Amino acid sequence: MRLHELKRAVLDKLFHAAAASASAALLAVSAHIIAASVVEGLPALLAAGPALFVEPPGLPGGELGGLGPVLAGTLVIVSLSVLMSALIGVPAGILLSEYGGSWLARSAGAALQMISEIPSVVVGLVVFTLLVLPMRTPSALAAAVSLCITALPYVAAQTRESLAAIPLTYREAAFSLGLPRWKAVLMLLVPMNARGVATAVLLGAARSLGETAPVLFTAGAAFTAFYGLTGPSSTLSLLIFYFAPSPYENWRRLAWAAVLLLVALTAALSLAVRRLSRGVRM
Amino acid sequence: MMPQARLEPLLLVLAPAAAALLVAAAAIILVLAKGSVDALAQGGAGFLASSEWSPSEEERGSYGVLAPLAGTLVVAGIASAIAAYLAVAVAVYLYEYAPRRAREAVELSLYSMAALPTIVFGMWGLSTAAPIIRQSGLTLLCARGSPTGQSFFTAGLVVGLMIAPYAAAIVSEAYRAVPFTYVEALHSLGARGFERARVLLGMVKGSVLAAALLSFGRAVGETTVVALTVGSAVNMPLCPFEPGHTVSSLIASQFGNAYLYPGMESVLLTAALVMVLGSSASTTLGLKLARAAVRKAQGGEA
Amino acid sequence: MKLSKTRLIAIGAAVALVAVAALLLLQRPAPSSSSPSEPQLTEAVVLLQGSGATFPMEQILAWASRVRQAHPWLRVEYAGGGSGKGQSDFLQGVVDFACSDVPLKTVDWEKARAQFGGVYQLPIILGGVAVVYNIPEIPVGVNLRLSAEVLADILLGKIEYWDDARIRELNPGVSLPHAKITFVHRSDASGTTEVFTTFLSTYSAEWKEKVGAGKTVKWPLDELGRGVGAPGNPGVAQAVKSTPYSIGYVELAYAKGLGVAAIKNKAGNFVLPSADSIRAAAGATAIADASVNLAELKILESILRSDRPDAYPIASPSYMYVRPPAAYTPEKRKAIAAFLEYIFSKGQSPESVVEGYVPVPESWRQLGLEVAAEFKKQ
Repeated sequence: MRLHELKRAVLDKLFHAAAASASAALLAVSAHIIAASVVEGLPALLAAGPALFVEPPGLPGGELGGLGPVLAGTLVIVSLSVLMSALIGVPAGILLSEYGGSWLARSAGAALQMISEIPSVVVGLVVFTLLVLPMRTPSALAAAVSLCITALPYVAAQTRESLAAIPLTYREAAFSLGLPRWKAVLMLLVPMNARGVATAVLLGAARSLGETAPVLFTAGAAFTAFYGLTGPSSTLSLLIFYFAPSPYENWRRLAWAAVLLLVALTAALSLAVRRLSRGVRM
Repeated sequence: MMPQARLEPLLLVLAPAAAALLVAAAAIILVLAKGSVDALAQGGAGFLASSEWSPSEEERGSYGVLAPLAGTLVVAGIASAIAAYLAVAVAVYLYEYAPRRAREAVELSLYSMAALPTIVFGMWGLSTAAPIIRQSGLTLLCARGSPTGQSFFTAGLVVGLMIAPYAAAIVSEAYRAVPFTYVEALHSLGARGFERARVLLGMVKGSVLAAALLSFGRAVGETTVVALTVGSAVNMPLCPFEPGHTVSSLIASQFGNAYLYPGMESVLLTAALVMVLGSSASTTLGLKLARAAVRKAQGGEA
Repeated sequence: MKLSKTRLIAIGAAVALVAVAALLLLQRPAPSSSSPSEPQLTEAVVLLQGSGATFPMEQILAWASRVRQAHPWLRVEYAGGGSGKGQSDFLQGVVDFACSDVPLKTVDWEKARAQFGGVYQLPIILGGVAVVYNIPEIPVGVNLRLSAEVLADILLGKIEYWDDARIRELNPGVSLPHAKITFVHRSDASGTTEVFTTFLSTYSAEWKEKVGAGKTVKWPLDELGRGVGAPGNPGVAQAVKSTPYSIGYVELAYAKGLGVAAIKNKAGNFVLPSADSIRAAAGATAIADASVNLAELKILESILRSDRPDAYPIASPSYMYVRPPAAYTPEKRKAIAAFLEYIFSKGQSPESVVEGYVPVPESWRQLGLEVAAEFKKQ
């Protein structure tokens, strides 16, 4: 018996070590990247001051300037993208979870899986053909559509998983009380795991903020001004894409400031979601 | 057990979303198909099985895309394996071993990591991961090992690390959502961490599968990171530490100037179409097989 | 479903805050970058959009900012994307102007003529390709000397080690290590590659026959396992920086922090790339008319063969394509006139040229001003 106990203890320790080291490795990588962005981005952020949020970037090789128009573009594009992906993704996730067997759900599921595998740059090319060419201009709208498409699979998958995690007993209880299907879903299941659904939308927002390839051909590269929904625009990730490898120091610093802003933004979003939504301990 | 077979009001509300999805997927396939017509009409589908890449601006060069297609599978395979392993390990660590306070902090940092722009991961891969791979000597294992450390493996590693937070989010949400009664029961039986993990992971198998699939899809489609870390060479992936291409990195590096090479644009779009259809088919098949296996193991419980 | 009132209010407040912030940012007129008091905007804003080669991007953005100070109603945005994309966008009417590292091919030039009734191709700025290397043994301040023939032989695989006799011959007194040469090239199609390979083809018949010139080529060193591709100029620069004993080629602006080779020009001198040496190389090439088929003029070849003693041969211009004035609306015509006029007057002065770029020779500047005048006429 002692040997068995020993074996269990050793296995547990090994498992613990494996799990902990994997988590540590993952965190070490993200810490390295985040530390680099703080080390490089914070001085730039402080040097630019409040002008960072209002001014356009300075001339290459010149003063720092700011990220004003890029922030405006990011705000508009990402909000639009999150709205669209939530409106399509959350209902799709509910459909997949509650009506999983129906042909509609199965084809929607296949469509989602396929969309998740399309190279992000190809999504941009497709939206270029469908929106930018007819409009004869790259636009914030086209960028938002591209980002929405890339974010959809995440929103839907997370919604589906969070609903599927709720045991059947709750649904059975609802039905046995006479609640129609739609009331059971909307008034019971979704609120029970509101946190999961909110996480889904958050994941969609995170993906929209961080992607570059879909907006590469669709948003244009307007860093100095904001031209509205149907004019060329830019996002923080696009600015980083163009400015980070630049040989000009002030532009590189702006890019790092943008990285820092992105990280801070998502951390804030995540915190807000966790505080505002609630789940039920089952 | 499930009531009503008549048309449900909820279904009516949810259907437009599903329809939008189907329309989006169809539109993408159609645009890709339209773009592929030129390449297929010109020389048949031979270029899909050839690995010779000789571009020419004057006449139609030969654009064999077998190497990038194979490279996509290799990179995606490595990436999703790494991501799935990390996701499960993180979920287990957070809920079985980590102190409660650490959990919130770790989850927060995971979400922050998930928002890091792909370009930042790519540059980290180029400036940190590639030199590490080169210095570790792993590249010597291959005949034409990469001199800079950029290779199929490097790309797979960095993409896997990048995807891991998403996969971890899905798995840990499901892990957390397992009804507490089960956790209580396991504790009351005196189960240790790894024993509890085995049981609970079994309960969230579906989520782990979903995370793995999503990771695979994301890895197949990832562009920016791969373009910076894969080494950009048209080369069959016979050894993971050699430089190569995936379809996405090929498109990313060649599409901007493809217009100048007659026939190249269409070849790239065809490669994208083939890759998307191929990987969709294989993941659907894989899903069916996996679900069947799960059902068999659980004796019919969904 | 019970969402407590406080939570509901909190969510509502957050959403309202975001909406207000968005509206505020949208209402605010786009601010100017340096002048404290912006001149009054009396005319409607005209936006010129361009795309194309990534090389001139920083310079065009700099010009766009500066020209806005003189003409607050003029906005120029440039999206990059590659020469091919620029040409494709230009012909499809998605952009007002496009930039490229090479003139339009005859086939495309004729397409543009058929579509727009003509096309102007103007060289707007010069750039140089630096040959960079990473050899720790060479001290700072000493530049490796290379000739086109030796370079070609290195890249054909015939010279394998840094301390080969032929390299030592060109560099007496420099101690070279016995290390294998690794080569980093561009993985994406690029004008930089085209300039570099055309340079090699011009001076090495064997290179011309075996590899040739182009935006992408098959590098012999890739097959030998000593060559690797990196995306973009920054990619190549980073790869050379992190790989000891490597050699590569990048646009001048990206050569910072790396060893730069002095290249032997036609006159026999070893010259380092600089604004003066690059401008000297381009000085002798004349372009009489911007509306002709520039591809036939073989401008790049004549720059590469420049026989001026102080010329750095590996240089090439960036071109801007615009349609003839009649193909634009009156506002756009005015905008292009103002932009071109700026580019070819103040835009070529040392304050306006961004580091790493080189102003065009005088004759090309005049050409540009003539075309600008055409647009102003109408």
